[in-house]
Amino acid sequence: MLKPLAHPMYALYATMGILYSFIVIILQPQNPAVFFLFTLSIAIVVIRLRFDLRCRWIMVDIFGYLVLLIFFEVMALLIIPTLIMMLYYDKYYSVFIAALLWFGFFFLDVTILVLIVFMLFSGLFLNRWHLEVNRAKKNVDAARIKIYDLEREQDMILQTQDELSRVSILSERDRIAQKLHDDLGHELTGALLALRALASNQENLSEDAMFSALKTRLEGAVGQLKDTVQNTHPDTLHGFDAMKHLIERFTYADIYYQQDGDIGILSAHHWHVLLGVLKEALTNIQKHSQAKRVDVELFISQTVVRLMVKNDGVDGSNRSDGLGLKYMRRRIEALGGSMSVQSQMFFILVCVLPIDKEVSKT
Amino acid sequence: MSAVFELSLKRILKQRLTIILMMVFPIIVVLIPQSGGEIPIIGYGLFGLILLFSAFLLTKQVIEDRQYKTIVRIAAAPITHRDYLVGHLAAYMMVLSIQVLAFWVLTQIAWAGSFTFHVWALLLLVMFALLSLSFSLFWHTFFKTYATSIAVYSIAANLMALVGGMSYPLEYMPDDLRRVAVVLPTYWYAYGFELIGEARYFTALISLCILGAFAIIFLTIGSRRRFE
Repeated sequence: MLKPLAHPMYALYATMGILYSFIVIILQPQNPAVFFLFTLSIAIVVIRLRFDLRCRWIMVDIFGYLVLLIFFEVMALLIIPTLIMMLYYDKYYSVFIAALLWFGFFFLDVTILVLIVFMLFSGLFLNRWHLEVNRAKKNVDAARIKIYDLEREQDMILQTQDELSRVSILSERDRIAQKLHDDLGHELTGALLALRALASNQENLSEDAMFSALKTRLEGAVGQLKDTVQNTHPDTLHGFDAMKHLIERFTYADIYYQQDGDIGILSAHHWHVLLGVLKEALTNIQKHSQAKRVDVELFISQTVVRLMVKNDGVDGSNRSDGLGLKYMRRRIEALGGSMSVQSQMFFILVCVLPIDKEVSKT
Repeated sequence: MSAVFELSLKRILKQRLTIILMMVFPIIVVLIPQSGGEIPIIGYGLFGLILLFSAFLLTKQVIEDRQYKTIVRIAAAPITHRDYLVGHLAAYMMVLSIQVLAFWVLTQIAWAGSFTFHVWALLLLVMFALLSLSFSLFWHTFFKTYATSIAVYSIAANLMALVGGMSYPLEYMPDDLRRVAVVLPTYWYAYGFELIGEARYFTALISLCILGAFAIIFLTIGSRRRFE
């Protein structure tokens, strides 16, 4: 961290103070007009330093000084602080103005020569220092941005982990519920129906206590299974349902969804990434585009899954990926997939993920 | 801006002692017998000293806002630093202008001088009031507390008035001292009155411009926002 007092700007203020003190000692201005020019020169320099108006305006000052130099020789001294200020702001042609001053007007004046030499040394020194500090500031800023990005990325990774484990639990619960419903439920219902058919064929069987108990227990088992399936089935949407919900909820523009292939082979991992990309793409459309129509296409083959989001709201600006898309790209690339963005006629985002059959089965 | 202006005026009116002193001292200055029936340069000089202190007492609010961290809360409010500053300075300048006008009216009655002299005197007084205000603002930027600021200022302002020739006629000022005194705005105020007394109005105009340039310098440096 730079100490405030070690800043080149403060050194520039100090230099200006020393220089003006030196000038007032040389001038000893008893003449009100000369003293007015002196105070005016200080006022202009103070305003330039305070409001950071930079060199375009300083050039106007220089022109004014050179014009006044025709009438007042004292301007040769008063122009020196402004030339230092120009050197400080990288305007090296102020050296030529100083040379012009020396050769054109005051060839034999030692005081002006001393001040010009002082101006060159102090101006160039302060300029180098200023550049060095600016470079250091830029490096510190770049490092801060990097740290900020890394922290955001770390947060996103942690969120993803939580989300992924939640989605895995939900999909496992869904699979168990489906298995119970399809296999066990089917068998139990079949047994109950067979029992009822048997009871209707043999009239005295329904009066048998053991048969009645068996039937009641079987009916109870079917009822309990129904409840269990209902309770096990996750309330929160995930996988394809979540994607469908996301598309249905999007009202910013007309949205059209197309799908081809078997979504059953996609794992929770795939769904998580695809949902993340779609969510980010739809959010970006809302934030940055004037889209009237959005097309979402999901294509699943045996080896890859491809998601394409296309919209007609290209605003012509060549925008780089935001942090969200940047992070999604990294995740997709880590899974061996790719993500590409194209913005010419339409804005098209394509995400391709490989399907690992071993992983997909889980 | 008008809200800040009104608030600042209300805060000034709460400083009753300051207001009373600001109104009583000019009357005392006018009542002091002036030598020889000539134009009372020393009277104007003493009023200049009163202006220096009046402006300082008025700008007390600015340093106190910083001292008690009110400025931090103001920075969080939807008003800009420029609005804050312009509102306060306009209120202070209004109060100082009233003081100057009151004094000027009294001098018309009590002191000698042509109408032209009095018009130029008014111009010099208003410009010096502006300078005093900007100088006080500038002075406060170097201190963290009002107590320290006024302790050093009371010495500095008196010295400035003494060296600048506000409390005695400039013809008695030694040449060596005059070479140093020219860097002080108080010298150009006193010199301005000497010039208009001698009816050298063009040079007096330069004197007025020098005071204006000083005011710009002090205001530019003093208007920087500081939180500590």
